[in-house]
Amino acid sequence: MNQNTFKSKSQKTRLSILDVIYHSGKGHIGGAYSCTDILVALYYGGILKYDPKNPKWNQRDRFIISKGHAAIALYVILSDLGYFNKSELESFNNGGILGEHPDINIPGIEVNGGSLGHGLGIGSGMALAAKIDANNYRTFVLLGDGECNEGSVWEAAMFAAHHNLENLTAIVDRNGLCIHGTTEEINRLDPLDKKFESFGWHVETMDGHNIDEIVSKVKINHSGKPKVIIANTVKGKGVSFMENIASWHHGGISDELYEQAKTELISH
Amino acid sequence: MNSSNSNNVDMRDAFFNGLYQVIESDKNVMVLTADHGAFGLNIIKEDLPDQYLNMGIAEQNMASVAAGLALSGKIVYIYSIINFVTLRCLEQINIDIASMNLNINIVGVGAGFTYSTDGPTHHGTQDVAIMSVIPNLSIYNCSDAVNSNAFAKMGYENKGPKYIRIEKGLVPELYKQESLFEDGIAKVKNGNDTYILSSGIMIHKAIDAAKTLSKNDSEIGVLDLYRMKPINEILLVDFLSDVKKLLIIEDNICTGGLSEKVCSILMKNKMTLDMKILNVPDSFSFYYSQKREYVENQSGLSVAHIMEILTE
Repeated sequence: MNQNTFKSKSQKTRLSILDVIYHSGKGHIGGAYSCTDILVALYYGGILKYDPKNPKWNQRDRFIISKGHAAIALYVILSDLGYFNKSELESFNNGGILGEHPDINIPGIEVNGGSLGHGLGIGSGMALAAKIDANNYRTFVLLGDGECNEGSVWEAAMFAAHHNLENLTAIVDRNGLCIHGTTEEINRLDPLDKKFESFGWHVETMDGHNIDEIVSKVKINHSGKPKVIIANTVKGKGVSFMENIASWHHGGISDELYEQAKTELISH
Repeated sequence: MNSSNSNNVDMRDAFFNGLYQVIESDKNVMVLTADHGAFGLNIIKEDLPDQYLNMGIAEQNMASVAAGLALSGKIVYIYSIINFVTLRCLEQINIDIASMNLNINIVGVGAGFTYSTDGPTHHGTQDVAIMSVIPNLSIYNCSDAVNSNAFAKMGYENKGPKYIRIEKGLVPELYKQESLFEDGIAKVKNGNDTYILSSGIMIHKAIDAAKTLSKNDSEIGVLDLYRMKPINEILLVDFLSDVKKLLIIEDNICTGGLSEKVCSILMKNKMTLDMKILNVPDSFSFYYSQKREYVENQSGLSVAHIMEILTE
């Protein structure tokens, strides 16, 4: 897939997220947009091994969306890949199988989520199991940056490094915003890369909206250590009035703003 | 505690002996500890090191890692002192383990006032109430070496998440070696119309009191509710159908424990008994003693007090 096709996938994904949240009434659009390009890279960029016809294929790579509130971005992609019918998106948050947070009854979802700080520990367990059983699949965990305030993230970080889980890759969606302001104002994370490094991880940073860069950074890990990539992102990426505005973490979209967002996304 | 009939196997060792057999039989079984040891666990560590993992003092991560292992096909036991393996990682148990109905056994040592010198951080008096609100989770409470051993094996044989409270020390044997523990409740002493209902180590105080007070024409019976969730309601109601006077004793805090569970079942079944309850008051116990009885006595959990209530 070339850069233009990636761009088109990202654009279509963002438009679909907008439609779903607009029609459902409310949703976590800001954090869904900050990780959209990461998810597109993972699923369309040849990183993850998966089979939509056999979601439980035992050699699949495991992907945990630990920042579960951004699940809508993943649902749009999973439905595009054929894990479930696209019509399910129409009943998002309104009586169907898809809600705000992921659960394992949804094809393609590995772990129940919604509470922050759980994914890296579960992912560490999956990665350890793969090592014990000599399986080659990899485990990927998408963390929110605010989520890294949780102590359990660091318990898992310590454990994964101790056991040299090189088959575990974490990506931090570093959009810099929590619900009530910036991560640095609320409970400082920087230097986040140095923190992971000091825990024994192989650390890289990347532009979380440059899909070629994401693919090249995430695809391989020869470090012998668990790998984390700090993805510098923009909350609300793609829609000017949402970008870097904390209040777009969760909410509804007026008719007027919906049209404006749609126009902006199409013209990009 | 009267240990004259003890079978000379420590309850905790009995559990780990059972676990050893399970782990030895299937390489897919793993035991994780939050740096908490036991004689029997050390043997597993020595003999079967690939299936043993010391997670360090990180119970939340232990529960989450267990979930990741179980989602990858492993059967997992996680182990520490009761409060640390339940309260400390409650949300991980609730979401990562129970909500996904995983084959994980949460094993806590130190029910009630086992850790009698260590204060309320180590008292296992709130865990039953708290763990009882978690769907899918079964709760087993060991009362002798035989069921301690059996629960270790049932953790492997029965699917789904389980919480197993184990005890340290020697106690008289209540059950025959070949006993099955599928019913969830057992009559461990026959009686006429007065019964004591209890669970865990308190059973032995109940038996001591009942034996002392029993006369030929009016035996006091004792029921052991060793599976605290789900309670076998049908069998419990059946056992209590001819009982006129019931005393419930437990080393759990007064809210949400055995007594509230049983009261609720009795009310639902429109059963009115002359009932008394002895449990731990709504307080933290800052009493310290090498003698467990001393700390238990501060909460009224003594054989003498049980006898006093029964003769009121």
